Amino acid sequence: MAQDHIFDILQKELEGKELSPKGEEVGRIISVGDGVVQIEGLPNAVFSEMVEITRWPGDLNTSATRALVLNLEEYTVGAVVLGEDSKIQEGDLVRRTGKVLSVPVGESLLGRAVNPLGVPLDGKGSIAGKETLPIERPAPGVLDRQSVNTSLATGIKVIDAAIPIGRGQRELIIGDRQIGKTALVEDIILNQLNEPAETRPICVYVAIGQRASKVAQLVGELEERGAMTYTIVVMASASDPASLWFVAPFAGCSMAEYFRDKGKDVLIVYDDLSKHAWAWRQLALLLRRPPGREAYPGDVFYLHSRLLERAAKLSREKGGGSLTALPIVETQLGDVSSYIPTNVISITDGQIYLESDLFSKGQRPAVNIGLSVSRVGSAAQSKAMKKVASQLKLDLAQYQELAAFVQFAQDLDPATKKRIERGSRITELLKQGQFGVLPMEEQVCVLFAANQGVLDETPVEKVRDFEKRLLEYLRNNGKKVLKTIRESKDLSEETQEQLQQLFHGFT
Amino acid sequence: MSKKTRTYARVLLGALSHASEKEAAGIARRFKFLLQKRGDVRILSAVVREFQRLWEERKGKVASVVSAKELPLGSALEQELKRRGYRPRKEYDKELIGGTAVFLGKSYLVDNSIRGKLQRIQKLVQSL
Repeated sequence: MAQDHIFDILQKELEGKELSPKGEEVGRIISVGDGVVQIEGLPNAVFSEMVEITRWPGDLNTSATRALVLNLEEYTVGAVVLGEDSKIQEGDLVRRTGKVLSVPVGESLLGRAVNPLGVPLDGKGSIAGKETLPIERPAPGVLDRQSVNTSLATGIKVIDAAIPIGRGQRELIIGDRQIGKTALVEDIILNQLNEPAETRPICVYVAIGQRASKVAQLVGELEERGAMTYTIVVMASASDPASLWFVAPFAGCSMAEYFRDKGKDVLIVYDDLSKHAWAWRQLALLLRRPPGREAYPGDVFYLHSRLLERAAKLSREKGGGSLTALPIVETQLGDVSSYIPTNVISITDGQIYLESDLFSKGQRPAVNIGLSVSRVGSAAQSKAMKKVASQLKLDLAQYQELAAFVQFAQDLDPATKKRIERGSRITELLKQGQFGVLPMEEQVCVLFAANQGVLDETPVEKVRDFEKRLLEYLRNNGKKVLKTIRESKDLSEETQEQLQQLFHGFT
Repeated sequence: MSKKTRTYARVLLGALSHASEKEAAGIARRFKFLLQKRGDVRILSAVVREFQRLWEERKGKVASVVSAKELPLGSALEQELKRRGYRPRKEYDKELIGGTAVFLGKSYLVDNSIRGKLQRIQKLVQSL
């Protein structure tokens, strides 16, 4: 239909029937530098509108450069160039498009790696479908939401047990560089393979200022394991202009919202928001906005709050979809009290704190359970996990309190010694290598075994091997029990007895 | 553009409007000293640009008529622009191939050139 219409217009144009020229609002570039242009004219341009910069009369072989209007001043308009600015000259013509910056959305994006404007980067051809959504959209209102009530399985024991995440929650992942933040979210994305296809969340990974090689590796790993079928990767690499870094999370969020509004569950990872804040600081300073603390503009809090507020569990009337956000923030030398980390901590519903000391001690993932918290996830935790996690958290808390005395273990009373030994085994049990995600029922069995003291006789260094063998044994001999836990999501007394018998048989 | 730039340009325009050529040179020199004294030399080029715009517009807004070939004197287009309060200024650009394009002030373009049409057709074809 649309093609017929365009054909008609073309025919009329070519036949000379449609000769009347149409006036358009234009402006001229008066200055360009560092990805920011100042434009004279465009008196009716609107905030967040896309404009096109071309040479006039222009060359038919060169396409227009797009820019995003961010500053509307009395006589000029400030815009950030979405792409290469080296070819823009003073005096170039700027045309209005009348559209706010939008990105392509839809099923055809699944399995694809695109840039923040929706341009494919993976060489798999153009994106089919013409549906678009603006990058800036209002967050769902209070009446359109409901409380988080379904858990998002991460496959990571320490998170699922102690810091559970619910679908629709915003959970910050915070830690120093090279500490396993990206590896953690990669595992969470991979773990969705363990979910039934009908309830499996769509995953959107937004890379902001990451090395292209690192993202390529991640895409390769996801593809290899079959996780790209439900994943979209939005990449603004380190070599892309700051404007694309700025746009990336909003574009990724709109792509995710398409599925959320269709009633599906979506998981979005922003890797990472520190770099996003840097990009916004650079653009804001170039746009001559007044700098505030650490030279960030005054609206850097609002920048992230309006982005993360779009994560929600929608009400049944709105389709019941959810958007879970996992923003990542990089700290410097573990300082969580600097500007951006404190901002994002206060916006999100909890944080997973990764600690360098734990990482160097070989604790992977290096999650500091004491400093990590999930404010809403426990409401969505399965009954089975709740039952094993409560005892586990108690044992761990007691261990952490007594951990200082570990070196004097010889002089301790037997009860304290037992607690320390149990704690050290649980700590060892919570170690999990990359790509070693476990489904909920297997996690429950392993943690139940720890609670029941099955590990107490095993030397600490052999705990992981013990766990591996136990899981192997359960997969072969306890299929029925595993199925019961998976389906009922509960650990009834009968199941507990069956498990104890299985443990007895194993040991 | 800051308010300061615009104010300087307007002041300069006011001073030069009724000045003779000899007086204008003195005014320009004194204006430069004024900017130096007030620490605003860095905005000199912006002031000059704004002054140029105001100077051209003082007798009405300029409408640049760009065509591939020289238009006849007193063409219908020229008459129409004058009737609407614009001061037509002719420009030639062979790149247009044919037809004309009219810039009304600095914020409006009516592109009836062959090149403009080709560009519009190109855009339509690309969007298919």
